Amino acid sequence: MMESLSSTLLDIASNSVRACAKNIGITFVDSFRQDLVSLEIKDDGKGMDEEMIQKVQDPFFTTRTTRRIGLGIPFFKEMAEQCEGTFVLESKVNVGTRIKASMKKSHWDVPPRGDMGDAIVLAICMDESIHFHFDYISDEKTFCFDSLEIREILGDVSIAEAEISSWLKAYINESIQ
Amino acid sequence: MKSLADLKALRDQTKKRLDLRDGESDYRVVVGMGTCGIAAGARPVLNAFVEEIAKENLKASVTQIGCIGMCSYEPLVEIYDKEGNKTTYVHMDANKAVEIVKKHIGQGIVCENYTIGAK
Ligand SMILES: Nc1ncnc2c1ncn2[C@@H]1O[C@H](COP(=O)(O)OP(=O)(O)OP(=O)(O)O)[C@@H](O)[C@H]1O
Ligand SMILES: [Mg+2]
Repeated sequence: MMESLSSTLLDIASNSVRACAKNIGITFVDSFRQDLVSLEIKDDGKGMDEEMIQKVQDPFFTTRTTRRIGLGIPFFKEMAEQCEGTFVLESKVNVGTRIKASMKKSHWDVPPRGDMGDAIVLAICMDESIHFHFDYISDEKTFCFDSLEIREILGDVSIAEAEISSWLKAYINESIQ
Repeated sequence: MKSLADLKALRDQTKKRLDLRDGESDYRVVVGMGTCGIAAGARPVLNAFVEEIAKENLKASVTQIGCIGMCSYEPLVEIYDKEGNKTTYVHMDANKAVEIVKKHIGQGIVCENYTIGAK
């Protein structure tokens, strides 16, 4: 299992990047009131058929040629189930994929957040031509972060430049505190 | 509280730094960021490379890649020079990353003791 929610998020988002998504939406809900922590990743990548949807939930399956077992989705599912939560995986070939883990916030096994800003920025750095949208929802506030808006400000400067990425990470973390 | 309005100024400053450091990269650093890499601690390694390269103002790019296929050696980093020669560093951490930036990228000296051959 991953040590934090942020590492989980980065890992699942990297599946979407690999599936050639043009748009990736990430929603992170953290609510005492609803006793809920959830992470949802939606993409418009190449999607999966029924058989594949079943198979990828089994850790002994992967389409990787470098290794025989895939771990990302099984880890994500295990995390949800360990925390009295639910796991959803919906996908359609050539349409996209939605994957979501919802957990009971009060459950002992909910991983710590980790460095969310870092995970979001690293996800964007994987492929800066992809449109990323991040929504954060808690009891007190909502925050949204959109890579198009950032792209517009940065012009020909990459998000991956050290001072830019560290500023953005801090900006996101400050906003979701 | 930071606001996106400040990002513009930072962008212009960065642009100036980049314009001074002309020419293509001497090295390409590739960090394995598959599930195995991330779980083994590739994130701080990646960040250490990015920060140290900027600090030393060296000409090198840092990119992420999925699973390279040697999961038991993660975190794993490959460094390519201009001629395409590859060095594979294994069981990386942030401290080793800083040292590798200084020696390998800064002075062209491969840190043999961290390479896959040394294991
Ligand atoms: N968003 C997605 N869109 C399309 N296919 C996907 C998506 N996410 C996962 N898949 C498919 O499911 C497989 C299993 O994914 P999973 O993350 O569990 O393992 P993996 O990515 O193959 O390896 P790793 O252990 O490095 O994550 C992938 O190889 C890919 O074929
Ligand atoms: Mg994966």
